[in-house]
Order: sequence, then C-alpha cells, then structure tokens
Amino acid sequence: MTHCHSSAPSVPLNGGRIALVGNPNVGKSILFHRLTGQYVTVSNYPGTTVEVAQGAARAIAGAVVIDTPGIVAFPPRSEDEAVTARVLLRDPLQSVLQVGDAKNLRRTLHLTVQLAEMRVPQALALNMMDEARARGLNPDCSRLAGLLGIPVACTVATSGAGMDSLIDAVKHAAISKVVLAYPPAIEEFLASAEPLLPEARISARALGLLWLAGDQQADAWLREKAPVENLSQLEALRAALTGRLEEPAYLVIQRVREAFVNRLAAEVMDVSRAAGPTFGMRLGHLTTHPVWGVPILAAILYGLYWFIGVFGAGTLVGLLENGLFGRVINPWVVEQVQRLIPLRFFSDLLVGEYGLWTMGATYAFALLLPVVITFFLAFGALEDSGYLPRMAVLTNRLFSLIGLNGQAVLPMVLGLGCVTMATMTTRILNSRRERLLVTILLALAVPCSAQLGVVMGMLAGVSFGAALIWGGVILAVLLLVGWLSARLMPGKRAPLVVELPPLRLPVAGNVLVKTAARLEWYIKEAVPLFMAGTLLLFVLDKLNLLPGLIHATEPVITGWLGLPPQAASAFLLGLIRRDFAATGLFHMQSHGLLSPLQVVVSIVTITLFIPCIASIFMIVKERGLRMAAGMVVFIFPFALLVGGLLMRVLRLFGWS
Amino acid sequence: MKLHSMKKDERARPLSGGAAMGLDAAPAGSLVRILAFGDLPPASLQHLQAYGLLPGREVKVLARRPLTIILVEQTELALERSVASQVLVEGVQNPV
Repeated sequence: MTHCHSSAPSVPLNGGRIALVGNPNVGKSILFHRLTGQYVTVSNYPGTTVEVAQGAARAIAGAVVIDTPGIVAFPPRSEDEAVTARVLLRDPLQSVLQVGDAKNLRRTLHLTVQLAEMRVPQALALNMMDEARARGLNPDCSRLAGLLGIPVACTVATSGAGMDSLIDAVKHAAISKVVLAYPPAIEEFLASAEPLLPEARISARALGLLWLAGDQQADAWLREKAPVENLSQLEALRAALTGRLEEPAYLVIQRVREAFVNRLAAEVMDVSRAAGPTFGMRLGHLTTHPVWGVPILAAILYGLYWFIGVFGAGTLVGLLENGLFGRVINPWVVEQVQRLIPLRFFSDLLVGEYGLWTMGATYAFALLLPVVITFFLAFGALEDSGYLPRMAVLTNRLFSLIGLNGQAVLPMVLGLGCVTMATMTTRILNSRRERLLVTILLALAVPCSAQLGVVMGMLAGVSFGAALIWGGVILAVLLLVGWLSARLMPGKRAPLVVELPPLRLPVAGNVLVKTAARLEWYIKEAVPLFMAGTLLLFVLDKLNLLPGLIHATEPVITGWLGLPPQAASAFLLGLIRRDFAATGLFHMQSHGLLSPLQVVVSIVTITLFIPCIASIFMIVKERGLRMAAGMVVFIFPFALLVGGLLMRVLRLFGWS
Repeated sequence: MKLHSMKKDERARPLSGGAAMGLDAAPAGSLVRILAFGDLPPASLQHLQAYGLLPGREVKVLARRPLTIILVEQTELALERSVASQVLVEGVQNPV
C-alpha cells in the first residue's frame, strides 16, 4: 500500500528538483500523479511552448517533481523531445528518476546508459511489471541495481504496487558506476574535446557524446556557452574523427551501447516461458488486420456517433434544453428580470430574442455543454486505450492519396475534439509541408466536437442515411481538396513509422481528470465568445441592422442554398463560431422549421466553414498571416458552393 | 551456404537460402535478424535505431499488411513498405 514513511529522510532533500524521464508509453504520467498528488501546475517549460507538469512530491519533503515529455532516445527528434534534453542540460536537477518499461528492458537500458554517462544522481523505476510477467519476463530489480550501481524499484503504476520502494529509490538516487569504453578513435576525440567544453550540469563526456551524435540542444547550448575558438577546435576534431570512422559516429556509439545493454539484459532477465499472446495482444492484432480492422474501426466510429450524437445531443440535450431550461429555469429567470428591470432595452439584453441569458447562456449550457462533455469523455477513453496509432496504420493508404501519412490521422481526430487545439498539434508532424496540408484540411473539412455533437443530433433526428450523406460529402471534399493541394505543394511525402502501444482498458479516474481539464478550457474559451456573439446580434438587432444584413444574405441563403430566411442569422453567427450556427439550426429544426433536405444542406455548408475566430488566430500564429488570409478567402465561398450544389443533386434524387 | 546447419536444426533454417532481403519481404510470423540498412534518410534511420533496430537484433514479423508490423523486444512498430524494404534482414526462423 502507498502509505508513506518519510519521517526519517536519509538525505536532505530541501528544494531539490527531480526530473521524471522515460520513453513514451511507459506510465510516466501515472507515476507522476502518484508521486505528487493533486498539487500540480501545468505550464509551458521556460523558453519553449511545450507544456510540462510540476508538483511537490508527497512523500519527500521539499522536493519538486518535473514530468518531462517522453523521449525515444537522445538526440531528440521532435519539439517535445527537445524539452527533455533541455531539462537535463539546463535545469538545476538534484536527481533523475527514469521510468522504464520492464518488458522492453533493452530499450529502457539504452536510456539508462545515456543518463549514467551524464553522471547525475539517478534512480530507475522498472514499471509495468505486470505486463512483463504476463509475457513470461521476470527482470531481477535488485540484481540490476547492483550491476548499475543505482537504486532500482519494480513498480506497477496503474495499481500502485512498489511505490514504497520507489520513494526509497528516489531518496537514494546515486551516480552510476557504469562507464562504457568506446573505440579508440572516439575515446581520443573525447579526451581532446572534454577540456574544450564549458562547465555543464551533465558530465563533459556525456555532453561530448551528445554533440558528436548531432544533438541540437547540446549544440545550441555549446554555441551559447563556449568561446568561439573552442567551438572551431571542436568542429575540427569532429571532422577529423568522421574521416577516421567507416560508419556515422552515432551508429558506432549505438553499437557499443547495444553490446553492453544486451549483456546486462541477459544477466538480469529471467524468461520463464515463451508466453502465448495475451488477449490484449490478439485484439491489438485484429485492430490492424487488413480485413477485420475495418469493421472494428466502423464499430468504434458508430459507437462514438451513438454516445455523442444520440445520447449526448439527443437524450441529454432534450432533458436540459426542453426540460430544465425550457420549463424551469428560463421562465423563472425571464419573470424575475422583467420584474426587476422595467426598461425594455435592458431586459431584452438579458432575456429577449437575442438575450445574453435566453440565447447565449442557454445555447452554451443547455445545448452545447452535454455534447462537449460526452465528446471529451469518449475521446479521452479512446486516447488512453492505445487505439489511435492503430488508426494511423489503417488509414495510411487513404492519407497517402493526399500526400500525407497515417500520422496525420492524429491531428485530424484531435480536430474532431477541437480544431484550434489540433492546429497546434500539427507540430508532431515531421515537415512544414505536412503541417500546412493538415492545417488546411482541419480548417475546411474537420468538424469539431462543439459542432459535431449538434450535427449528429440533427442527423439522428432525420435518418442514418442523412448522416451517411453528410459524412460522404465531407470526406469527398477532404480527399479532393487534399489531393489537389498535395499536388500543388512542393516537397516529398514522409513515410510512416509508428509505435503501436498495447491496447489497455482506460482508467476511469484518468479520463475524468482529463475531461475536467478540457472542460475548464472550453468554458473559459467558448462561453465568452458565445456571449460576445449574442451581444453582437443584439446590437445589430436594436440598431435595426440585422434585418438588412439578413436581407442582404437572403439571395445566397434562400436562393442558392434553398433555406428559410431565418437561417441567415444562424449563418451570420457561423462567421464567429460555426457551432453557433449549428446550434441555431438545431433550434430551428427542433421547432419544425427545416425539412430533412434543408437540414443536410445547411449542416454540410456550416461544417465546411472555418471553425471559429480562435482557430483563425491559431492558424495565424502557427502558419502566418498570409496563409490564414488565403484560407479564409477560399473556405467561405467554397463552403457555400458545395452546399448549393449538394441541394441541387439531392433534389435530382427526389429529396424535397 | 548454410546447408549443413539445416540438418543440425530443422527449425533454424534460413528462409530464402540465408540471403539478405528487405524486411517487407519477410513472411508474417517469422523471426529475422537485422543485417544492415539501405538508403534511408538520417532522421528515419535514427528513429528506427532508437527503438532498438540495430544490426544483430532479432525481431519478429507480426504482419505484412496493411503495413509491415514487427515486434522489437515487446514493442510493436509499424513501418511503411518504403522504409521496411530498406531494412536488410536474414531469416532466423520460419513462421510457426
């Protein structure tokens, strides 16, 4: 059990900083939460835009734990990984706690060796012992501790097993006794390079090896700290070494580490039996199977449609909007306001047709909140299940048609959550070209949760066939625009290499915590915009400009799209946030003002609109003003064009 | 080449005469040893090596379609054909 016995700390730990470092998908964040509890702050790591969580350790007085982004190995390959290198190079750390995957012992030890070379006090948590044992792998933690000369704890983060020995290990973090001998050419390079390197938080030897392997962070740090003449001497040394080696220095270093790690792993790993594949592994293989993978994907998408569209946007919204708000809260609020504020103008501002309460707050809380909550729950569970990278495998061929690889499925699916956030996550993609392509497709053809739920609710009110038409048109637009822009844009497509983590049952607590955090963000971000949009409509209405504006857009709305004139105000709102428009249309549908054909046409059009003002800001920030302006000018007319064409095609097929 | 080793151990026979082949050509279920890397951009190469795809390592091929999926230690890694074909391997054990 995880009671702490920290009353007798063996080393003074006041104010010490402990960095959690490890490969991705090793349970680092869960261990972090077990070590820190609830007092955690998440903020951008200084000098970067990557978020890092920090918290006071519960069982170690005065210590602060830093949760670094998962790193496959040094040198880092992405913006996230670079932060981990930065923490090690620049943060005044007291010790490093490596979290490793017990069943991938060699991969874990490759990182352990690199940390040992840095000569920072370190401890190792061999996590996921349960998964290792299920595969017949039994690493001997105390033996490993003896061989490495650092404390090693065997843990299962999900159940909390081994937490006591982990806290003990952290308190006794030590500098490892492991020193690897590299081929003479590299050793000679290191011997001459070390005196030229400035004093660092990690050993000169490790710094030299990182720099030799091409680590960008180490390079930047050197350029900042080392005198120019030392730098040119170092570069000359490196050039001389490269001439002497037959292979790249990186590979030579890796081979030495690999040989050491293999010996070590063989000594401490007891393989009891060649265990058969577990249920999770079998299911995992089915999800990427060329035949069975597709129905599984379809079933998951249908499940999402049902949970968010039918349950969230149908049942829950019905209970909240018609029941709680329609019958109980709003009549009472309207009565109170009209009684307390006799001035018509001010009472209208709150509870009129475009009232802050009757429109703004009701839309935000009764119509959207249930939808957004069900979406965040479903998405959080999907994220934790390990299924998303498998979607990348299944969809790789599809994305290769539009000049991308399956990795693009991650921002695209995140876009189903929030296009603004997803635009930011395009950073995980490898090239500028991919980032730009995905940004365009996100802005044009990926509906976000706020809107998606309303859309699903509306479609569920028509028929499943209507949902298929909507999905088909959006997918066709996505492929067509993607195909065209991939051909127009210079550059080469990057091939897919992706890790498939084991499928896991999501932990309810973890999903709830994530949902709560995202919900807080949504309320802070979207609700004020809802109010501002409502206020804008109210002012336009009071100045008698609204009828004029609506009249001006009528040729497009009624003529070209074949919608009732009231839809114009919904579309005007769609310029601010398209879920406003969707919600307005939902409102019209539930009052019988839209025919099935009009529902499909209007929501296809609104889905193709730019998501919201916030997403435009994000595109400007990530891709620049020119790109953002170009997208706006292209997307709005294009969305209207597709909507009108769809209306005519559907009429041809006998819809009315 | 390795014909006599076949007699010693029927199961450890080379898959296609012990010749090097692309990882994408290895049958699903087989065990292969990594020999060398072909023409890959440095970024892709370092990415693979970070997962432990190093010369001498033995990896299991789990699937060939829709992508090549391999097991390195206990990590499943999916590689597109254009990458897998540049990882040269030799067969260690046929599918069982």
